Amino acid sequence: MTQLNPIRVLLVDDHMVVRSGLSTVLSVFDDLKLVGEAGDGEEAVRLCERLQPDVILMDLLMPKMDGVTAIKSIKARWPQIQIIALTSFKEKEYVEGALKAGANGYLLKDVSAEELVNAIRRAVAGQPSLSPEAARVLMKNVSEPALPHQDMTGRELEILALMVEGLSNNEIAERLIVSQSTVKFHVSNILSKLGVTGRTEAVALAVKHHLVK
Amino acid sequence: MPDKINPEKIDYDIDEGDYYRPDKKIKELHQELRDLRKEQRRRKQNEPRPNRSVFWGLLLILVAVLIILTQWHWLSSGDWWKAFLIGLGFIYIIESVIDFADVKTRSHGLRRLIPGFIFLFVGFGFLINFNNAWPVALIAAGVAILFTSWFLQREIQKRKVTQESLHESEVKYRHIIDNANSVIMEIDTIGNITFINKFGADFFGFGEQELLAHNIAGTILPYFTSAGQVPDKLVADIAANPAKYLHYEQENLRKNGDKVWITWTYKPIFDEANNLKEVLCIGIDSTQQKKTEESEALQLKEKTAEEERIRLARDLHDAVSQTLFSTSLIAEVLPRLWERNKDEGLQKLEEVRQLTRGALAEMRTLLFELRPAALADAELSDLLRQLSESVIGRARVPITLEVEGNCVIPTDVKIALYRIAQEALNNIAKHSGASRAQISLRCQPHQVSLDIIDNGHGFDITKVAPGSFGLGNMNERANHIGAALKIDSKVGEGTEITVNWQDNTGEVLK
Repeated sequence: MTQLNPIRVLLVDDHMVVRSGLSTVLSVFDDLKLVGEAGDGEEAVRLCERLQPDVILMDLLMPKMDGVTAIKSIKARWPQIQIIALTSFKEKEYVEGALKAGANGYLLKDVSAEELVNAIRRAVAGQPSLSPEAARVLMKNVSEPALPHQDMTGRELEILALMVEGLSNNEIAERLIVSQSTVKFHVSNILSKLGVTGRTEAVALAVKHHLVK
Repeated sequence: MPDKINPEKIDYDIDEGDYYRPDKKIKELHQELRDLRKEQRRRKQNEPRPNRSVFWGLLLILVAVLIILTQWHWLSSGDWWKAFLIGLGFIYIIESVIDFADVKTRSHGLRRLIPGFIFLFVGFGFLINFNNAWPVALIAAGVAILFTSWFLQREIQKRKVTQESLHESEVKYRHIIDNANSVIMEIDTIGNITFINKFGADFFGFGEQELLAHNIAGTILPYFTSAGQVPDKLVADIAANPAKYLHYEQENLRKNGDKVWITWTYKPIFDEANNLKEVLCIGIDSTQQKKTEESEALQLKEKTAEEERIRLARDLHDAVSQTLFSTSLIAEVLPRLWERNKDEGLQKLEEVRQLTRGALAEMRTLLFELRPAALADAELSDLLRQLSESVIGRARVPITLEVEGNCVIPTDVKIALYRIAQEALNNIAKHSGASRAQISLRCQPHQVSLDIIDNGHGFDITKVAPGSFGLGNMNERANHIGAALKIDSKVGEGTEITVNWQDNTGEVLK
């Protein structure tokens, strides 16, 4: 299968060993061409400017600039570049983060070479690829009722974060330089907004649904 | 027992602050008090009172001159001695009134009242030609004596009451001091103990007599504390920096050699001339607190080490996953590659071998992180081989390992060298961008040197933060085993890390 215009691929991963494996895969297929490798998000953005690849295989957890940020900044400047996130993580915030940032696919690092190559080809045709795990995460997200935390104010989220840290009302008051009664007021609002009765329950819910960072 | 001292027989003198010495025998104490009072009296007599003497001298001369000038006829009549007696009487009375005003000289003043009255009455009696002047003078003198003795009696009674209450409060304070849950101690300017309460003596395991007049150094203070403090400098330092010693933690010693921690309040007491008189010491046993603090610090250290291990384990696990993912990709496309180009296929097969070996080494390293005790049983050369294989697999950097000699070293040295190598190789894999690296381990009896060199882009040692790249960790580990660590790097010229360890104990290692 010889093509006049092979698909130009850029590899972005901080693990040398992964780039080496991926480049071996690309070298075997004539319709795919490795045009560059980057070890972090910053380098990826720089290389895009020069190389203008068709497809990027992008790791998410990298030093200097992480994958999600890199996807956002590349998509903002060159929307025609197709980006497939390729990572070991299947946590909701990564899947959502990457797709919201504009990724055209989300694959896990247990994908076979064949699936990977197909995903690259589909991406050029404008078709998304999702690993089954990523799809499951998204489906679960849709089927689950939205959390009531959306209407929480910034101050309430801030106080919730301190509650998660294990601070008492008194300590929170000291930290935020407000009175204890103010903190109490906010805490009772938080509890009612989350639909819980106790502090512990609120903290558990916050941790479970990553309401705080 | 010092409690048996009869307070009636001893005149307490609180001004000197010296009466309270349970170690002195009663007789000695008496003698001392007598000497003290003698000394006080002498001091009082020697005190110059020029203002009063000069004043009286001048006044007398002035009066005499006035009398001579104005009353010459009267004096020459032979009555002059009457005037002299009257004058003398006045002076005595005025003196006594002045003395009476001061509590300290009150009784003295009263006594002067008697001759004053006698002189006055005799003088006046003769002057007005009152024939019975002598008996009247004697009556006056008698009244004066009676009044004086009545007054003195009252004064003595008052003083007795004061003294009794003083004694009572002294007993009370003594009771408090002896039963206080603190060490209460007085030391003199060279650190000799002049007083210690019962609790203190009991606490340190000494009898009360064993500590008195002994220096704190060598009794309750070791000659050299573990903080390297020399006790004979302590007193001088307390006088110079009193604020530092208001709350001062110190390692002390019991008689049986047990170490105890005491939180002291050292208060220097100065005399009027601002010379150090003594140091008042109040100490609270803080051994338990110190132990708790130490065990908490140890726990924190262990917790930090535990967290560090978990982080390492996670990193390693991540690395193994990446290596295996890459290996599986290569293995999957290998048949196609082989068809197209056999040489390239062979080369990739070798890579697959390296990668799987790397993953294997990584897994073993991971096991060591989960069970660090296993490090003790492993050979250093094997550990280094494993580390280099995992980096070869993970970072695709060829690493050569040279081992010279047979390394027989203590376990802690082995573990430290392993950790330093691990940190260095992690840096090579993650940051160096090196295309080649070499580890050399040279072992001689009682001496080991480890050298790790790469051809990466290096770094500027002067510009790098001390904690970055695990350099701080390496230094700490090297320090811990007393090894010399040298990090040599320049931008663009790679990095060389050398550790030299020498066995200074002189023991033959088996």
